Amino acid sequence: MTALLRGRDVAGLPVVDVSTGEDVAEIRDIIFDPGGGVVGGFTLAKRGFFGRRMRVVLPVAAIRSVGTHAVTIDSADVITDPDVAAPEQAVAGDADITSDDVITESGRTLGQVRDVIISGGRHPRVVGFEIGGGPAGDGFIPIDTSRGLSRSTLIIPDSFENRIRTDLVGLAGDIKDLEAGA
Amino acid sequence: MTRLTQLLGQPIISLSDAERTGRVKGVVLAGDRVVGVHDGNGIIPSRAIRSFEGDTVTYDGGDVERSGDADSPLGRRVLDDDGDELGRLADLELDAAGQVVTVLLDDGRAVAGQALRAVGSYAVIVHAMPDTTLA
Repeated sequence: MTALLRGRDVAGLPVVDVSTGEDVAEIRDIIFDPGGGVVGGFTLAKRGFFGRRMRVVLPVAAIRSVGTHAVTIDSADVITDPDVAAPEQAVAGDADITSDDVITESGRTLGQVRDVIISGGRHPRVVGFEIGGGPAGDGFIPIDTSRGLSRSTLIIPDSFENRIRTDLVGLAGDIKDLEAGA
Repeated sequence: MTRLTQLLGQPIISLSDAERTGRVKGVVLAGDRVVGVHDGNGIIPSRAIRSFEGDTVTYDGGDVERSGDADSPLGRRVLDDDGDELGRLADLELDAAGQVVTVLLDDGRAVAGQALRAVGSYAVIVHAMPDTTLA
């Protein structure tokens, strides 16, 4: 099942080794590469109420799936020390985009980025953003894959102003339409 | 065919001396097979057990070495390997050799035993397949 998940819903999910059924860590944060709009990986914390940040990271290529109740891995060996990560495991990007301004190509400010929306499953990717705090109100917009984000601003096509949806179901429909070229 | 809920608590008797050595306290699963039962003193490997289908577990007790620990996985969360929770483990149906035939969930649904991947302290893991759920 592929679900749309807010970044804050992914944070806190257990990381489960499916070869043993053990929870080996929990997701602390998403490492997001704003240039390519892709999920690079996850930072991790130890499990528990006072779980402290772990030095290791989980590259997205090493995960099996991002589910609604857990992020699964095939083996605990895939959790990587960032200093010794093989090139194919290197985690790109580490930007906090929440509170970035959301502006149309015509220069109309719609609000600010509140969160990223991830399509889960075996190939997790950022498919949109939750926005709020501006004249456009609170809602969800799809990602414009033709352009990246700067370090402070998310620029969207003018036409996306009409694609602000109030729930993730509406966003999922929009993403489907965009991918079909509608 | 038996169920884990029936197996737990059954007396365990050694065939070598007809002594009762304990009761089934837990099981060890490797994939979709029971590979050992805990009798309160340690794990008896399934290869020494005659059958799982009686109302008493009998085993060839000659040179069984007990080690390790095991508990009951009943009530544990069941996750598919895509990270989606299916429910809680209500029971396992086992054949005479300890092969898991069916994984029963707390909402009445069932998953084919061959989909069982691992039983850990956090979760019971099953393969994510469109046809995993039987009913």
